[in-house]
Amino acid sequence: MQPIGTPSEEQVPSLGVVESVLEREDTSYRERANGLDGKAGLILGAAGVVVALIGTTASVTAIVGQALAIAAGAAAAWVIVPRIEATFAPRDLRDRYLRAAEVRTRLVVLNAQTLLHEENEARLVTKARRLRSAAVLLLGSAVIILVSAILRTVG
Amino acid sequence: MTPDSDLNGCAAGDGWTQLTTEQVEAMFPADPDLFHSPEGETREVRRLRAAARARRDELDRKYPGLRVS
Repeated sequence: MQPIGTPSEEQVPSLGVVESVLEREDTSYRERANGLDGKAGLILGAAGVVVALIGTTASVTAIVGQALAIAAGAAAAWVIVPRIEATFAPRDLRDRYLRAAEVRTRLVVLNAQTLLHEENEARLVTKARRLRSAAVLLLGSAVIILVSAILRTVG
Repeated sequence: MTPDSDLNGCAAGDGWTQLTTEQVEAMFPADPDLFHSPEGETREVRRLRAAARARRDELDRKYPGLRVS
């Protein structure tokens, strides 16, 4: 297979469309990641409130509820760990591609952006899964505390 | 660029129209050195660079000599 050389813009007529879709996707997943981080922050705060409200109540259900709330808080903190902050290095882009053919640079950046997008989407799925676990644990904690309170009232 | 075109038809000249999308990627693979984070050399950046290198090597093996340097 022989080298073909850099194509002209006419040979990749939809390059601009693909680039703009990827750009929109980039904005979209950053917003979704920020949304997940925000929700994780809320769960973390709620877990702290639950732990503080139960305080030093000496009952098995209170301890179980508190343990679940702590686990929910830990899971929520774990949501924030897969950071999505990687981007392109403008200086390296400039230094390496300033004198390259425009279409070549655009195709290299497009392929890098596609890779970045795939990797970030995978991290987003991980974040969402962890958030779900945190929410379930917090719900479990709340249910246990509620049932315990009802039983105490009835009994 | 036709995704299901003949892989062997990409000689010089009219070859461009015969290329698959993967072959175009092999010509201009993602540059690992372009990834960066405002927080410095993070694990995420290292992972992205490793993924880009792995993909580039894979494409080089599959389509030797196609990469435009």
